[in-house]
Amino acid sequence: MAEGLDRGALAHNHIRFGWLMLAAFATVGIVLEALHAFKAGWYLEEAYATRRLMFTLGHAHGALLSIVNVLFGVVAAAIGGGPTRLVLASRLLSVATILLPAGFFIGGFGIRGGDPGVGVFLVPFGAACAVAAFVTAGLATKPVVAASETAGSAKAAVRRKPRRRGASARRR
Amino acid sequence: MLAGMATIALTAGVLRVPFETHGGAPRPKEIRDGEIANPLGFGTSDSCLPCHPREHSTWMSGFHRTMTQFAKPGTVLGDFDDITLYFDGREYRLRQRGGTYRVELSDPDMVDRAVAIAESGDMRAAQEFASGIPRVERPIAMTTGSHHYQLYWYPSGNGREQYMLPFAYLIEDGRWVPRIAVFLTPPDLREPRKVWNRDCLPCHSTGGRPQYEPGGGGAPDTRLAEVGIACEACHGPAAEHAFRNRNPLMRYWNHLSGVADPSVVQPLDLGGQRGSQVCGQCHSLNTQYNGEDWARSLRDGSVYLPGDDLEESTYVVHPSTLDRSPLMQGFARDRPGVLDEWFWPDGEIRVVGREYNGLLESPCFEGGQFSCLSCHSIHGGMPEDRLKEGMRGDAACTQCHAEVASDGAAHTHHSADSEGSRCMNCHMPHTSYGLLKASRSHTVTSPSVAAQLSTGRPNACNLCHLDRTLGWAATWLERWYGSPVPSLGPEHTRAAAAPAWLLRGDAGLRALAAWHFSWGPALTASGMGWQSPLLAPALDDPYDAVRYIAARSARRHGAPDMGAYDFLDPPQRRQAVARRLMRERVRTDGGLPEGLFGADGTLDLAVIEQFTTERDERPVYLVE
Repeated sequence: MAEGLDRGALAHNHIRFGWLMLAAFATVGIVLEALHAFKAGWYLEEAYATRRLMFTLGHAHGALLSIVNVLFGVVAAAIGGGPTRLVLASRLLSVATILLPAGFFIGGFGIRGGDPGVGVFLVPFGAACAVAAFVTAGLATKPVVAASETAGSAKAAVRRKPRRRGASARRR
Repeated sequence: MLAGMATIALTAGVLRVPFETHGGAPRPKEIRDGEIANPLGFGTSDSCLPCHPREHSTWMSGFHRTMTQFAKPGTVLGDFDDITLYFDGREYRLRQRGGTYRVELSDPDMVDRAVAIAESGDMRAAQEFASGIPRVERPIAMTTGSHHYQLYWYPSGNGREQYMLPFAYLIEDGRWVPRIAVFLTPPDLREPRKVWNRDCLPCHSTGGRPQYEPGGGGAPDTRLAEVGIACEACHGPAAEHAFRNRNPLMRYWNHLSGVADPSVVQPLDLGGQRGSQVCGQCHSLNTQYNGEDWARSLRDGSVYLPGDDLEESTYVVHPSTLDRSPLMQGFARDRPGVLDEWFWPDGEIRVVGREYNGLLESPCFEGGQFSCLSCHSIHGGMPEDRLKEGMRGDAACTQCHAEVASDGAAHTHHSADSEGSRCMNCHMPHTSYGLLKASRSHTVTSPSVAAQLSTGRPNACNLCHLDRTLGWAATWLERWYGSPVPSLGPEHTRAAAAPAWLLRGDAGLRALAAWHFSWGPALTASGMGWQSPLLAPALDDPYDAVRYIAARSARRHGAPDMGAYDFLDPPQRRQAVARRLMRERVRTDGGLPEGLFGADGTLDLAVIEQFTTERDERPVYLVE
């Protein structure tokens, strides 16, 4: 599925998605601030502490994952290894960026006492996707960076010969 | 006096007052939360918070939680800043040091022994003994109350036993008064010492076990699940419930299925009778059926748990059912007239805090659906009365009596927006006494002059129309509702009824009348400006509580001649103020009450004198 991976397009997509999501969650942050400013009872009263927690968590996770998307796009070109892992990490990260904050926000509605609404069941799936994305991205990262798949440059296509361990130490 | 003591003994849970003393320094043991080593499975309110934040929050904001608290900054409302108080000839020094509160007093157990010697008739021995009583210092361990007044407890030195400081701190007034002055008690009453573990623990804590030795003696190793009236007082022991519901799947199954969790009691689901009994376990005048149950309660605490049938374990006192409780029957035999102090002659309770007794007498309750929870919710409304949203007004009644709501003024015969058209003013008048004020009866009835004549309980019409006679009320009740006019004497048709209650009634009735003399709706209906002189005799009433209420009412009328009057002033000073006030010429914004004032606007002192002479002097002790 990733044989003809366009790393530039993938990076671009993540960077654009990340910035747009960051804008969205910044807006959510403004809304939450406004709820504080106007002392919205259904958000601030002690009885709605669970809702406040859910919205706060949704906002925080959404903003953080937006930044991770931007970072992922920036370093996508530097992630070596098979494109399959890169694509998998990309998709998992995208799903996590949607599910995690959505689960928190939807869970913030329909709270039942100290328990969030059923929407919170999206959160563990989103969290699993996030963890899987990070692991996959981590495994995809190789010490040898090959930029040929994206730039097509001959220079970049030449893999560096791996150095023997300790060589640099000896030189130092 | 002995009879009075016996009254308190039973109602407060003291059948035997020990006179044991303890050599050397007392070894107070604290009572702590969560120390109930019991098989019943109590947790604490903290374990409820994670799942029930709204309910926890509303409970936290209420007065049930703060009924008993450990004494510490933030819970102690009284002034302990090097205060010296005197009661019964003894000095009490209150101190506050580094967040702890202390009282220095004469050794309380030795004082009790001196009193016992004096009561045996050997005054010389008593005086000799009293002169050698040492001063001791005790920490203030706990408080009771946080709304109207606050009481304080210190360790007796006998196990975990706690004695009451004989003073109350009036929160609104910001002052100390003798504790006995805030209850409606006969002036010559000498109360036995109040002991928290026996007298208060069952209703002022959760999951309490006094753990006295059989018979009520020994050094009690009192334990409780939580101080104050916490979640499990109404929902039953809930440790298992909290444990089960740590599993999120269990919780969401409950949420989504709508199936009630059987591991906890929900009073709303118990139906009218059992649901009301949850409140009635404390909001009733009750005792045990027999001495054996009584002794067990001193060891193990209350047997009743929410959801149970209250009457299986507890006798809810009523004059007509004394035969059900040999314990109460014996007490009533030993203390003739005691039931007349607690109940109106038709069995309606006359003290606050016993609303369940009132409810049982209500025709509304007979239907089975009506309950305390029809109008009240511990998790809603204002903390003062916990009336549900919208239940402060007519909706409380019209939720069932919709047909009356549609009748409106045709039913009330008063202007629709006036206080005379408010359901509760006519059907739940303020005929219960407690907390230095009148409170609404929870026996829902209709105004009746005939009932007034047979019971002495004031009727709703004259509690609002303070300036009208009983005959006037009877006439209108006949015209509007067809109630037959009962046979009335001249005293019922010549002078206004409410002032007569104030001057001639028993102490409880005088307190109710004095309170109504500054009740807003009554002043609207009766006009203002004429009440102060009529309140004057009550400023020198033998009962502290009546004087307190009368002074408060008179001050609300401006009463310029009261000066620095205080209800605890010596009699001569009180009488001087009362005489001045009685001679005041009134200027009213309406008419004057019938049969009490002369043409010049001054009181007809002959009538007042006659009423005062006829005052019902029987001792009244209203057990709140």
